Formats: sequence, C-alpha cells, structure tokens
Amino acid sequence: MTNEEAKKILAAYRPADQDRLDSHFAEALQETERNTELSRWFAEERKFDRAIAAHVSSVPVPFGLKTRILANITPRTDKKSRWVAALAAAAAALFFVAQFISVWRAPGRHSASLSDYEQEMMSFVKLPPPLEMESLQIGPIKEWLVERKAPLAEIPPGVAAVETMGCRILYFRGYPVTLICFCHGQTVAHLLMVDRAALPGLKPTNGPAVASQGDWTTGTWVDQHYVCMIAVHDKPAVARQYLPHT
Amino acid sequence: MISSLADAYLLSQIRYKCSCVDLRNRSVPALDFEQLVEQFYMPLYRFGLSLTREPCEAADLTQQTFLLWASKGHQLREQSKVKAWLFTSLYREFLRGERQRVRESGREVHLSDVGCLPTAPNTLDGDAVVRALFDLDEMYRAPLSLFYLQEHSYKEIAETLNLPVGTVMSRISRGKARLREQLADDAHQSVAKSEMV
Repeated sequence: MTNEEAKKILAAYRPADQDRLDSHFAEALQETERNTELSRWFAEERKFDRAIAAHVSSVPVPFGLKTRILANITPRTDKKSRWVAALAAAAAALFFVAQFISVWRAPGRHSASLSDYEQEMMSFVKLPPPLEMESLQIGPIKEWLVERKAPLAEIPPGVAAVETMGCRILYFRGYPVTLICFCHGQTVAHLLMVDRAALPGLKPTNGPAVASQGDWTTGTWVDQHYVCMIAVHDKPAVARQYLPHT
Repeated sequence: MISSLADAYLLSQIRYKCSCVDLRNRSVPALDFEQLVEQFYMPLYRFGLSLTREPCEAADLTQQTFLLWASKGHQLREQSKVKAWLFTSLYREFLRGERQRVRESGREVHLSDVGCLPTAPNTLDGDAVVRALFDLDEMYRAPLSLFYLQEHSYKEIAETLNLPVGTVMSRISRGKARLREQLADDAHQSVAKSEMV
C-alpha cells in the first residue's frame, strides 16, 4: 500500500475513533505504525478533523425547532396498541402462510381463477407488505422492476401522475406479481401486475371491471400480456381516477 | 422464504411500535416520536444547513423529514436503519427542491452560484471553518458534512447519498484538501486586510 492509498483510506476515518474496529481501515492503520511520515500525516489529519468536527457539531440550531416539529406532528397515546399488535401479528402470520403457499406451488400446477387472485392480492395489500424498493418517483421503480424481470405493464396515467412510495415482488401460484404502492391522499393505494399465464383463460378486456370489497375498491383489467389490478381504500368514484381510460 | 418470514416478523414489530400512524391527524406514537426528534433533529438540521446554507430552509427540510417519517416511516423494515432513512430522506427532499428550482428558473442552478454564507451572520459569523465548509461544492460538502457530524461511517454516507463507497472516500479526501485550501486562502486574506489597516 502506497502512502497516497493509505491517506485516501484514512481520510475517511472518523476523528473520534468510531471506525477503529472497521476492517477496511486495518491495513492502513497498521501502515501508520511502520511509516513515520504517514504516522505524522495521520496525527495532523486527526487533529484537523477533530477541530472541524467540533465546529460543525456546534453550529447553533434555531431555538424552538424541536417544539415546532412536535407541534406540527401531534403525538397521541394509542390505547389500542396491544390489540392492534396482536391483530398485526396474526395478519403477518397469515401473510407468511400465504407467501409460503404461493411460492411452494410451481407455476401452472394449479389453475386459478381471477377471483382467487383478487382475493389473495387483497389479503396482501390490506396488510401493506414491506417494500423492497422505495422511491417517490415511478422511473426508478420501473428500472428496479425491469432489472428483476418483474411483470411491468403500461402504468395508467392516473397512477403515473401521483407520488409513488415504492414496490415489491409478491408471488401468486409461483408467478411473480409486481406491487407498486402509490399515494392516494393520505393513504396507500396499490397497483398489481401479473403475467396472464398465471390466470389461464383470461382474455384481454376493453376496460377495467370495478368492484367493491368492503371499504375497498378494485379495478381489474387484462391487456395482451398482463392482468392488472388497482386496489384503493376509497369509494369507486374516487378510485376511478387511477384506472386506465379505454 | 426466510426473508418473507423475517419481513413479516419485522413488520409486526414495527407495527407494534408505530401502530396506526394516523396521517389525517399527523399522529404517531408519542414516546417513540419524541425520542426520535430529540435524537436526530439537531444533526439533521446541521446536515440540512450544510446543503442549503439557509437556516430557514434547513429548518423546513428538517421538519419535512419528520413529516415524511410520520407518513412513511412505518414501512421501514429494520429499525436499525432509522438514522439512514432520516438522513437519506432529507437529502432526497433537498435534491427534489433543487430540481424544482431548476424547473422554475428554467436554467441549471449550481450551488456554487448561490450566495454563500453568512446568511445568518449572528449565528455563524466568525466561524471561518464552517463558512469554508459551506463554501465547498455540494459534491464535497454533503459527504464531508456527514463525516464531520460524526454520525455516519463512510458506508452510511454512501448509502445516504446513493454513491459508491469508493466515490465517497475520494470525495472526503478531495473535499478535505479543498477545505484546507479554502481555510488557507481565508487566512491569507485576513492577514492582507490587517496589513492594509
């Protein structure tokens, strides 16, 4: 290791020794013990870093900023937390079982109906699954999905126009299902896409079929390659803004 | 499959801690949220200030970051990544604001074109070190600020700024060199002024 290489590495060594156990620095640190010039440079560097860090850490923060933040995001006590936790745990277990079943089944082993698919996907989105990729924009989400060869149909303009949250890949009967979450007012809405092969016998539709499931509205349509579904926790009239117009 | 199990478990744990984020009331569990604000609002503000060089904008960015946490933080799978999530969100919000400014002004705005500190002389004047740091180009200023806040390792800086680790190390190294030059220039100017007087 040359002096220049060691210096470049050691430049990122934090002055309060937080990185002393990081193996990335080990060789360069050993080099300082053998090399007097490097050792002198490192001592100077740390002195410089400590001085700068002290200044940066003492930049005053506006008086009342914390109060302002807390005032704008009102905390509340949640009396239902235990009840909710138990429900969440049960739902998480169901989610896991559903995932297990869907992954275990090989593609094409069992034909499934559209109703099965809708029910299963709704069980996923009612308990929002953790996202694998988070982005406020649809572009990076598309790139992420393309890299993983996940189903990706044309995004309806109504969805493309709103802020996204992220995506993940679920499975239905062994087929990958793309889930894109996007902001609907102050709740989360969902766009799901799966290859038509997962639901044999379905033909392309002229437009979305809208249905209600409790407080939720779903819109499902089929194009040449994919079965797409939008699930919104709102009334059908409101959910229609996200559906493709045909 | 293990991943799914872990996800489901973590999800239930996070939901227990952050149960029912009520976005209409912007409500989050009191204890966790207050602790979170207490722990991070100062370093977040200082990072925001190093990016925007405007105290008011830095305060807005800090508040916006916590608002984002209230609406989206519950999706975070690993609680150990809260810090990274907050700093990354602040940085993204900053970039988003910059892009919007570019669109509105119809031209590319380089941060180096923006009037430099002191914008709040009463709070920063006399602190040549901080001024010199804030005068650096954003490509050096962002990683160096995180480095000097001492909250982040080089790996965490890479994650926050969405840069390769090697790039972060280069920018820290070069950024420091430029910071030294800047400080040396300031010192020379001070000496020249005092000699003129």
